[in-house]
Amino acid sequence: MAALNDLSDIVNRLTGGSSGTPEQICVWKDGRVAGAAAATPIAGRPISLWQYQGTPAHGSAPGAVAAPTRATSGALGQANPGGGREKWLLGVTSAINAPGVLMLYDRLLHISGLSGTNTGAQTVGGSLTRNTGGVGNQIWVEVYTQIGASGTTITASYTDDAGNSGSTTTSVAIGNTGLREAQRIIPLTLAAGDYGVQAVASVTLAATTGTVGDFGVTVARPLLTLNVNAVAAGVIRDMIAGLPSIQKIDTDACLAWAFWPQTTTVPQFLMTTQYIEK
Amino acid sequence: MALADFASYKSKIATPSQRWPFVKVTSALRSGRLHSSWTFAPLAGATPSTAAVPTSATAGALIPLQNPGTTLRLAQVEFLTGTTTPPLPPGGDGCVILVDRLSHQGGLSGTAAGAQTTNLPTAALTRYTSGVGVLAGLEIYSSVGGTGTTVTMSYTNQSGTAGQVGAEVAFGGVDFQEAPRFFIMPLVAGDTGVKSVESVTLAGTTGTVGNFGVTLFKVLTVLPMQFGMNQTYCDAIVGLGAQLPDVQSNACLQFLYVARQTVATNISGELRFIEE
Repeated sequence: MAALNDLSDIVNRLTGGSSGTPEQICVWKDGRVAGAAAATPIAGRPISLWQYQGTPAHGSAPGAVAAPTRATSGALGQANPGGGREKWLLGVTSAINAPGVLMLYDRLLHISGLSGTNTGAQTVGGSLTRNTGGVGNQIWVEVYTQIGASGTTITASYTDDAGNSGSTTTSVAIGNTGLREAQRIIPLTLAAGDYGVQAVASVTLAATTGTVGDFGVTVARPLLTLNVNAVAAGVIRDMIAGLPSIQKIDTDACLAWAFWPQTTTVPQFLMTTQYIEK
Repeated sequence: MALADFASYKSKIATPSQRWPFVKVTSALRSGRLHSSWTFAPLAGATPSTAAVPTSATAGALIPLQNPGTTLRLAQVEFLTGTTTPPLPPGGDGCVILVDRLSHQGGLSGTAAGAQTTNLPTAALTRYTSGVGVLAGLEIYSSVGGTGTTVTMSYTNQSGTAGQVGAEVAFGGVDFQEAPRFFIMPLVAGDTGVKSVESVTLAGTTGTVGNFGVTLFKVLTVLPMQFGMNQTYCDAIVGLGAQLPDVQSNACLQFLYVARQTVATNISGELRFIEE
């Protein structure tokens, strides 16, 4: 494995030289979940596009804890690199119908089936198979079926990037309008000084939200964001000449999307992503 | 043959093998929704009927592409959009998606619930024949009705497996009935493309027959407008995120368009190609 040398190395590999194995993948995500329109977004509240229909096909509520991969339904499905090479994401372009921030992330671990009325420690468990050192990994609560209207708070017990178990996230709000709806993501705030997550042991509600619903925990590693500041404006993320730098895509990465909406418009987007190998 | 280095790329873009201006004027559109440019003037394409393979010589193709001797790649694009009626609005007017139109047909009905096979299956692919990366869309040529329903399609995937049916999409009703709206159809989990479409099924009538059809296409690149400007310049290596798609012989280029505004819009620009 070796770093990309320079622009010439990129051009050569992008056009098929040096086993660059260029790959361009087109993604279409429709604003529908389980045969109906997706839940109406709330401005500023992040939503998961994991279950959004489209191409590639949608993901499902995971059930038991699992470490999703490129082969999990809902993942982008990029080819794994061959010949001992690494895979690099060079750029993304996207046309989206609603303003906001679209995030591409590696979905490292997920679970669903947690209850909006259980105030005991609800087990998450499982083991990461990528970015196991934890730096940059985030803990998200992800709602699959609406939970209750009673506002409360939630914390997670986790192992931080230094391997310290029993760390606890700062309490964040959950339940009630804006924090209970299906497809809602509620990012959890790590303890001061932590840079990431190696494992999540459990989550605990301070009080019942009033409705069992179905929520889960996702461990996510953000890779890049695309900022769309007008309806249908579209966006380019050029990582050769712009920010962030060229991203390494881990073997078996489960690439998926989340969205921070500016409005209440259900997002739809078409995206192209471009990769090479070295 | 691959390009050796950046100097080779830079040399080739200095004298592109082909450069083609284009001009199109949209009809009134639906804000935030995807449309097809196929019937945009000037030099509009005809509404298809029987299944056919459009090429660079087909009326409606964005440019009269010259077939290359080696691999042809789209290297640079510049384009401008603006409303046909001044004053020009602030900000961009939408997002252009450049595609190769691979196969099309028409004559499907907005009132026939159940599986429709009129003018289907789609004509066999002559480009991207493996089907990998080929998507299918439904294209409205004459508005269907105001009753909302859903639609699915039965297709043959990239592995030759027939009878694949992906998730449904909304069809009919406001924003989902108007020509030239375009709907990308979801694929079954694990599928990476479409070789052909055999039937289309409406869950219910939209109330108006209209005319819609199936279009198979390959996305080449997405060209977003820069907010606050009406003109966009893109280079494949520097600025377009390394989108350097190869363009096949006889490619029938057109664009899909996500409109920001509802008014008719001018879209003009130039495509520049290099050959390896």
